[in-house]
Amino acid sequence: MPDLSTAGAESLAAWLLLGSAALVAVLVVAVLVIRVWRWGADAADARRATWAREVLFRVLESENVRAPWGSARRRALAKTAARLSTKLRGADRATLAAWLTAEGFRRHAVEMMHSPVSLTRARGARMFVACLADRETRPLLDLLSDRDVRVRSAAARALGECGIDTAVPFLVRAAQSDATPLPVSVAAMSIVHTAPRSARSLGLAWQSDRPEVTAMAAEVAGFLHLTDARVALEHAVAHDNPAVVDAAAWSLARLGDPRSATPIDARLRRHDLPPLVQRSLHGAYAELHHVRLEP
Amino acid sequence: MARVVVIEDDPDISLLVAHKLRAGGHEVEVESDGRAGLAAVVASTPDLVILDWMMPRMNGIEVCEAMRADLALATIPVLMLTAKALEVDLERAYAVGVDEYIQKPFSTRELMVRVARLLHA
Repeated sequence: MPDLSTAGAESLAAWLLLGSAALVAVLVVAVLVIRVWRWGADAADARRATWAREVLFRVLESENVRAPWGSARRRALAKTAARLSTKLRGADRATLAAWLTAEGFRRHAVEMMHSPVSLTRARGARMFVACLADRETRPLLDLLSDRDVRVRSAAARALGECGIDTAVPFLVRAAQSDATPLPVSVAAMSIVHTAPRSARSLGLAWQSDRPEVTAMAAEVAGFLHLTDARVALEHAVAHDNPAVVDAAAWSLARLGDPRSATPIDARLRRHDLPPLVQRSLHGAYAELHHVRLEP
Repeated sequence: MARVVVIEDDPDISLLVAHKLRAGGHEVEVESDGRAGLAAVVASTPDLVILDWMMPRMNGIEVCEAMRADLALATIPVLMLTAKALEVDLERAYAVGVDEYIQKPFSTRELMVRVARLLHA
C-alpha cells in the first residue's frame, strides 16, 4: 500500500519548486524589462539633451528660435539651460536669460518656487537662476528660509552660481538661523562660489552663537585669501571652540602675515586645547616664521 | 582656418566651444580627457589647444607640461579654460607654459577674442 503522506509531500514539494521557478522567471523578465525601459529612457534623454543644446547654441547666436510646447522637449530645454547658464557669463548669459524669460520659463520657475512639493520648489530655484541676468535675487533669498532644507540648499547653491557677493550676509544669516538653518557646508560652498573680495560680508559670522558658523567663516576667509580678515581671524584663535581655533590657524597660515604669529603664540601658551588643534597652531606658527618643526 | 583641439570633459562647454570655433571657420577636434587629448595633439599638431584643468586620467597641467617637454609641441599655444580661480592657480598655469587663462563661467566673445590673438601672435 503506497504511503499517502509521502506522496502528498512530494507533490507539494514539486508545486513549490515549480512556483519558485516561475517566480524567478517572472523576476528575471521584470528586471530585463526595467533595464530595457531604463536604457530607452536614457537614450531618449540623451537625444533630447543634444537637441536642447543645439537649440540653445542657436539662441546664443541671437537666432530667432521658439521653444516648443511639448512637455518632454520643454523640460529638456529647461534642464539644459539651467545647466548651461551656470557656465556662461556676460552677453551670453544675458542672451540666454532674455530668451528663457520671453519663452515663459521664468514665469514657470516662479510658479514652481511656490509649489507645495519641496523638490519642485528646489527645481524652480535652479531654473530661476538660469533666467537671471538682471541680478534680481529676492525670490532666491526668500527661499533661504524655506521649511525644507533641500529647498534652502538649492537656493543657496543657486545664489552661489549667480556669483553675487551681496548674497553673502544672507547666506551667513541663513546658516546661523535656529528655526530653518542652512547646512554650514552648503553655505560655505555657496559663499566660495560668490567669491567676495572682502571679509566684511562675513561680518555676522565672527560673533555667531554657533561656533560651526564662525569656523566656516574662518575657513572661507583663508580659502579665498581675504587679507582683511586677518584681525578677525586673530581674535578667532582665542575662541573657546577648538574647531574655530583650528580653522583660524589654518587660514592665518594661508594669509601668511607674520604679525599673526603673536596671537597664535599667546593661544599656544594656554595649553587648554586638544593635541590635534595644538598641532595645527604649531603648524601655523611655524609657517608664519618659516620654522621647521621636529615631528 | 586653423586646426584647434579642445580638451574638456564637460560636453556642454566642449560642444559650445567647438560650435563657436566652427562658426568662426576653424577645424575642431574635441576630446574629453587629458590622455586622449594629448594623443590627439601629438597626432595632429594643431595650431591651438584649448584645455580644461580638472579632467579624468590626466589633468590640464600635466597635458601642458607634456606638451612643453616635447620639442614638436612646445610652441603650440595653449589656452586654459578652467573653474580654478585662485591667484596661485593662475601662477601655476603660467608657470607650466599656458599662454592664456580664462575662468569659468566664461564669455564666448572673450574666448573668441583670445583665440584670435593666439592664432595671430
